[in-house]
Amino acid sequence: MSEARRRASPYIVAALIVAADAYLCIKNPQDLDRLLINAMLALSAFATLHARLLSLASAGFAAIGAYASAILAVKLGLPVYLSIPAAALVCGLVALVIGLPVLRLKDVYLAICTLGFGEIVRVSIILLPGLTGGSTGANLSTGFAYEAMKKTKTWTLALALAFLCYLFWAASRSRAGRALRAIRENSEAAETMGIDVVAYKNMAFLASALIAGLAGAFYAHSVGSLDNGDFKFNRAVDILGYAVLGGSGAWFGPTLGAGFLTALPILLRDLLGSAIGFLKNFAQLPNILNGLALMLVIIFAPGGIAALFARAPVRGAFLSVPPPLAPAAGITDKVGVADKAGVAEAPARRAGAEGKPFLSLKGVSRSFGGVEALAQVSFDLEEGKIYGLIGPNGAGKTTLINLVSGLMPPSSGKIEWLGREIQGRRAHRIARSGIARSYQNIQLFGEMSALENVIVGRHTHMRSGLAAAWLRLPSQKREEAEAREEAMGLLSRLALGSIAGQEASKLSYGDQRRVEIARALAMRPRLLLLDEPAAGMNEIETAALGDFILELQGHGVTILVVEHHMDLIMKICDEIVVLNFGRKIAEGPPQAVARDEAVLEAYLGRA
Amino acid sequence: MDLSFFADPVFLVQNLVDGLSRGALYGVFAMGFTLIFGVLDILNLAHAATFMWCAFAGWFVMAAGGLPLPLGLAAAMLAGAAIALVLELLAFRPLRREGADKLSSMISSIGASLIMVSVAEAAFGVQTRRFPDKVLDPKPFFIGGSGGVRISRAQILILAASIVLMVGLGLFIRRTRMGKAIRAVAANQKAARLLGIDVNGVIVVTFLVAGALAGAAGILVALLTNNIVPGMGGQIELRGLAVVILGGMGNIEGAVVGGFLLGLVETLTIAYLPGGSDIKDAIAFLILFLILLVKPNGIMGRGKAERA
Amino acid sequence: MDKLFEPGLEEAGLLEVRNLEVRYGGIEAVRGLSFSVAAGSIVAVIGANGAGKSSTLLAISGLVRAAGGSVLFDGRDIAALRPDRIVRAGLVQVPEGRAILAPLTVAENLELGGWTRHQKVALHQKVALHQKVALHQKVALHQKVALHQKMTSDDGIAKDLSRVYALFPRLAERSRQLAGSLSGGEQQMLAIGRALMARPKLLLLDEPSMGLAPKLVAAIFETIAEIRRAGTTILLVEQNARQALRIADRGLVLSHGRLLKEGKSDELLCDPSVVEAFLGKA
Repeated sequence: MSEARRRASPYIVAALIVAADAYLCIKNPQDLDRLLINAMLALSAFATLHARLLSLASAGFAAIGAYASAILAVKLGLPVYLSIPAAALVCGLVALVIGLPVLRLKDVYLAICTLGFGEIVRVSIILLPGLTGGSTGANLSTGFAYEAMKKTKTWTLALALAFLCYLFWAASRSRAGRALRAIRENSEAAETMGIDVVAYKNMAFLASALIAGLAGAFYAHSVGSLDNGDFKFNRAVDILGYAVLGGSGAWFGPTLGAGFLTALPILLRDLLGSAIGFLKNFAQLPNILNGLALMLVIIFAPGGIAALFARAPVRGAFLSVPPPLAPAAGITDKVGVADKAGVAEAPARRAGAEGKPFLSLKGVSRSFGGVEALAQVSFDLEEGKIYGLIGPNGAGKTTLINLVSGLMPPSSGKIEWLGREIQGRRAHRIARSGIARSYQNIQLFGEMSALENVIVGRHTHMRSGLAAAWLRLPSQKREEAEAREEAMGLLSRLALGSIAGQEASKLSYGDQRRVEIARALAMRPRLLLLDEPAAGMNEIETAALGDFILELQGHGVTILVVEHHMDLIMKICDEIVVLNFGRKIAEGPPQAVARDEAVLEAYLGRA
Repeated sequence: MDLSFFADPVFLVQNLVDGLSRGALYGVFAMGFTLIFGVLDILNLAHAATFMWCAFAGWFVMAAGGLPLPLGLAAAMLAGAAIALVLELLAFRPLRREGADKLSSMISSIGASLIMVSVAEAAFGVQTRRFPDKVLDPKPFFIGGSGGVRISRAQILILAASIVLMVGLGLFIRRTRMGKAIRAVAANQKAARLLGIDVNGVIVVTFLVAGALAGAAGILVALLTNNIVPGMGGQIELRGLAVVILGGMGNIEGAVVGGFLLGLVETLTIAYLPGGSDIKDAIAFLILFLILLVKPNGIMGRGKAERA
Repeated sequence: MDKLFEPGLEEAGLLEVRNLEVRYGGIEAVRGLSFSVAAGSIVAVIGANGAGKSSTLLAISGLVRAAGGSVLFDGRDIAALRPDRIVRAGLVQVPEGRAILAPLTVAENLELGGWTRHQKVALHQKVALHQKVALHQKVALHQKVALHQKMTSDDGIAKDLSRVYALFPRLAERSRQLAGSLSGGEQQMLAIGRALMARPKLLLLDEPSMGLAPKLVAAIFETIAEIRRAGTTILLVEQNARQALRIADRGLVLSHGRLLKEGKSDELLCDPSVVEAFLGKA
């Protein structure tokens, strides 16, 4: 398929879906309401699925919203324009309460718990017949009379949906949207960039609940009657189908999915039913199609329809890439900074806490199960120096970095940073306080561009929240532009300017490593932890990296490098710490360490 | 609340009997569920649809075809194995080949389940199928005279069959060569490969066994409730999920114990709590919520669950 | 593929690797690697981290598909075979990090080591028996009984089990314990013992000394030497270069995915450039 055709195909698909829905609604105006509500529920699913939370709770929240609004409007006499938002707020409250424990569960458990939540809601509705009319159909009992319920016009529903779409669209271009995408790609790396993953997940869950509640409330008032079976397990599966088919990568994905799956069975019945007689009465057709859609999409096109847009110009429009700056001198030419001996005077120290050590490890130990990965490791780092951390495989080097960056707490011991204890604190707080890291096996945000990856690094230094994005405040736009510029600058300095717009996972290995370093630098850290930055690099690249690290030192960054490339370590480090079997066995300037008998033994084995 | 309830021993034992037979059913269903999870780390949400189809298969063989109960049971188990095999080949293996994540497999099974149930609805309609009396005499036994504890033949069969199945599965997993291979694949796929074990072959066997268990569960439930409809999988699926998590994912003994426990708790709740029969559906999940809050790995968990 | 005949080459080793290339995504982990392992010998592969040692072993045992080159085992090209077939051919790997089956007992782990042998005995004889029956040939009762006994007996396995227990008495003590509860050194012994149960012609060991205390390291290497004495060929990947070269006949030094140096192990032990390869220029 030609490039032009491939780029156009998602738009064609979208246009077809819109056409199918238009047909549907012209033929049967009641279906328009149903379609709009499904679209809203799809947005609710997007909110959580986008952050990789497999929550199936939307149906349950819709049920709560529907009944809450019905009760408020009919029993308490609230006008509909108040009861509907109020119902949504009720859902929000419930979400806050159950979100805290439930969101900590992983994947499968989360899905099951949210399914269970739906079940509990369903049962509760039956249990409170005085309030809800029980399970015989709320409309028919003393519950909710049709005239009292049927209050909303289609245009209000459409307006609400359009408004929500705007909010999602604006959010996707904001700092928060980018943070969510980062969490989606790699939540651990996102946390070490200073993003509070737990808070964002709770926010996503809350949003999902609010929207689902809103959809449910609209449903109650546009349909005019409620039955307990309206929000059964099947509904949750339908919604999942919208999200999977549409793809949870972009905000419009699930909505397109809803449009498709709502229209398809009716279309098939109308168009083909006459040809295949029995199809006209085929009540199970929607379900079969939904099931087929789920299976086929997840096996053959897991990104859904939204993934088709990935290569379309739309995506690029999110982030216009400024022209690459010329790479700064000092990267491509091999500067004559041969080794530490020749370097000029040390750069002026940044004003740091006087007298308090920069980073200090005191008796740090960490065990996994019965295995002791680190045992009683103690050393101090001084500001402004470059430290090497070396040792044979399994010596505990990466564990140490994980402890300092906050991905896990030590089993015992203390880690002091700028005079305060940081062991056990959450990684995003540590990141905010000035420690950045790179990873041994690359942890980039694969489907984001190199430039976007680096901009994520600016997260903690930016202030704009969702409100600013929704109001399109000039301060937000300015902040985004500044971040983009700084990110571009960093990439250029690492000779990556020409690939800034490319998808990170498609870059060469060496480029990916450098993007990760650029991303860490975007945080403007005081302490940079590099875990095997030269892995997979050839000699030239390694040398260039060494020069770059020295240059960083010149800008006042303190660096700790874990490496196996001994040439690099010997060339750039002021001091080296050697670990073996989780213990520190040597410490000191490179020359001394290289001759240390214990070190030789650790690497080469006993003589 | 009428406290004399508690004093009545016959009522209590009756409820124990009912609870245990109900729990046995949950256990047999959950065993197949947890077996697949243990080996593959995925939740096969089409297990209940398999269960339902096997009930129909058994019904056709026995009620329409007139064959005796043992053959019906065998037919159901064979059908279950066959369906499970098809599921593995169509819904799961393609994803494994692509290296997709576990959630994708779960979604695929949801899709398959949807298709299976809808096709059953279309094919069989919504009217209930029942077993004729000649399949299993519905007259119950009374222990301790006519006012005593009532136990039906179906319940006896269920208790007996489930014990046989549980013990059988246990022996299979622990003593036979294939059983060890299954445990090896469940423990560490890469290591199993290095031992020369054909991992895909072992997975196929796992599905066959799990499917057969679903089939057995299908027939047994059908015999007890005498109510075969395409939607019969829904309620037991949710309870099966709860049991599997309670007992720990992948833990077969846990599934058995969890099944009995849930059955007892449900029955006793209906008996002794006013309004209990309304909330019995949600009990499973209430318990589940509470347990997961405290122990994310389930009661006898394998430690596979992680915090997000 | 049948045996290769290439006149002019010296006698082919049990394992012949030619121009092996291993990639992970964009990185070239191993490039243009060629070497051979003579039957009955121990060859040590040493080198710094990231040099490509483990990747080489993974490609040989089939867990990773080689991007290029050929791997000839006993004359057969195994580069494209599935891992379980490679094990059946007699090439068994003890992977880095041991990969034992934690929820199973020590005894069960060891028994599973003999998985491939058992089947080999059963399958072709079963087939032969069925063929005979199908052709209505008379199959004497005693033949049937003998075959049944062979299929169900673990004579060979029991003997090998006792050999492994003799080699590792610690395992015998803990035979009923769960493998996951063993210490690192014991797990390593278990992993090696399990590999031996398959009666391998060629044993691949990936960093057996990793994570072990120095005293255990010496014991492990002694055991490896003993295994070779019993007739198994060994390809040993190690970080602990000195001890590995001590027990090996030949050594290969890898650096950045290529073969840096090759030769007799005692010569390599004294070679200063090898030290440089690890610690850089002093």
